[in-house]
Amino acid sequence: MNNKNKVGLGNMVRSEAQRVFKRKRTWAVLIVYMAFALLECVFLTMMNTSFYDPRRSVALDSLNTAPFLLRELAILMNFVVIPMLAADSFGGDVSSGALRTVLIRPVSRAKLFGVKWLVLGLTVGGLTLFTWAVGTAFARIAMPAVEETTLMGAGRLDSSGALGFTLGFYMLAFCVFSALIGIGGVVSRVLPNPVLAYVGILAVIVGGLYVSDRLSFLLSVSDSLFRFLGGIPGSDASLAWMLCAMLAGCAIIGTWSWQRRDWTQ
Amino acid sequence: MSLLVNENIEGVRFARVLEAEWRRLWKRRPVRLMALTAPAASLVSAKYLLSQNALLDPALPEYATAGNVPVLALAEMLVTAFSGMMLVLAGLTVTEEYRGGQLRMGMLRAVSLTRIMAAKWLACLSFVLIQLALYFLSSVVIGRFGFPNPASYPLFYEAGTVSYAQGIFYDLAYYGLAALALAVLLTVFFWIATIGRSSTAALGTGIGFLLLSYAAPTLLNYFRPLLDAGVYMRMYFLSLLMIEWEGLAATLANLHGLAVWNFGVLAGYAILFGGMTAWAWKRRDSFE
Repeated sequence: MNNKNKVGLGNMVRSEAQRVFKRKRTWAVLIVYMAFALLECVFLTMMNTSFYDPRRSVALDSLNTAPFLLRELAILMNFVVIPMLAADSFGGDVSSGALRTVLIRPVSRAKLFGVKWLVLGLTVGGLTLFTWAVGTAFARIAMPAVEETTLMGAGRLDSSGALGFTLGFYMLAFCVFSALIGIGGVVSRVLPNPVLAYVGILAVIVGGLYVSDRLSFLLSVSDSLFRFLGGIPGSDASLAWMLCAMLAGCAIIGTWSWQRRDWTQ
Repeated sequence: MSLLVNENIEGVRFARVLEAEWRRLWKRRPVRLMALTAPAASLVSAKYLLSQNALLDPALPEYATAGNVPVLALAEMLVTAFSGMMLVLAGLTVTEEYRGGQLRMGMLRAVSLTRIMAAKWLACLSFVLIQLALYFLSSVVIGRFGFPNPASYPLFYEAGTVSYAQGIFYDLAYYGLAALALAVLLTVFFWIATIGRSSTAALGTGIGFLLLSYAAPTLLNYFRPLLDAGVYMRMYFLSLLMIEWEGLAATLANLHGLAVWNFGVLAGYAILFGGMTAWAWKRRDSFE
């Protein structure tokens, strides 16, 4: 009996996913991102060189290319894809009133926040995986073939080692993206208007630089990740801690503040 | 009947529409908060310039002194804070009001959509220009009291050496050009806000426009060895963002005869995007 009155997590995820993908702009932004991922591949074949960070360049080959797609694409991700999805999903539903129709069912607001985070995370995670797969496949086809390669933070790697390292790199990048989605959830709680939520998220990314260099990884994702993985001392050495603190902070503040939400809000 | 005769039959005067839009703009709490942007941003960039000064040779034009603080501080904020401000203004006043249906209230009066949009554009531009003036004043004050004030300092792109008083006139000319560039960028954003189906889509497109305006000249940089210096600079300053960032000083120094070119590019953007915006609103159904 009690079970009938509860809305299962699976149904909440399905319903949220439906709302996210019923928005045409979600599809538009996904397609634009994928198109730019392909363009980025063409760009990298033309250049044959990329950079760990502004001071360290690297010659690209068939094994080490995949992470460098993110050098440019992460900007598109953090400045367009994530703020747009987060502002629409966390803020747009509230300010347009669509959230009320969801809240007809007996669901907890905190759970709703978690579900929104999860669905956006899965969407962005899909894009991250897509970027990795495209980068890996493209490098093996179009880049100068090698048996072994070196990557900062991993030393010499063979084919399967490179595959594992690049996948790990993208997983770490995915954690950064998830943290930004969480920030989007918290910002949208304060500024439900999608326009302000969008700009608020950008303000957190850019404003973070003025607060501390340790927050620069939201702006320069791949450079910071390479400096962290390469064990280079400096502001990015604490990236893992900052990331954990950010994820935990957003989870706590988000659940708490969403739980306190008014019915009409 | 007598009422009809006495009233202006052609509709509401433009000044009245403008006044309504101006008041409506200020009735928004976010906009009121945004009015604090200029002083706050000038403090932030002063802090940044002081940290940069520690690393720079005082003979360089990039070294911040009382005279050039307004210019140095604006160069970075023009592409970030001011662009962001205008995106918010365009998103709130155009996309959200139109797509949300609020605009119908304004259309109870006998006034065309094109005129309302023109009034909105002027109101937003006035807001941004007031912010620009505030930014100038606060950075002049900060520069005078927080930075070294040598007898003379060099201008950008070897445009000569000036004293503090001459430098202020240079700064004023720079801000005049910045105002022009902002008006053009606002026109671009208004077009984006016009075609945007939702406010987030409009903002995403606006940011995308800025990113592309940055990426294209960066990409061009790789082909620099292949191009003649003059041609390269002209292609480089086809980007509105680069004009705002580096082009204003280059215009004032008339580097490679760029002054005419940059004005031409600004005019081109203004005519293209202004025309497209006006056309879009002219043929749009008022009750869509």
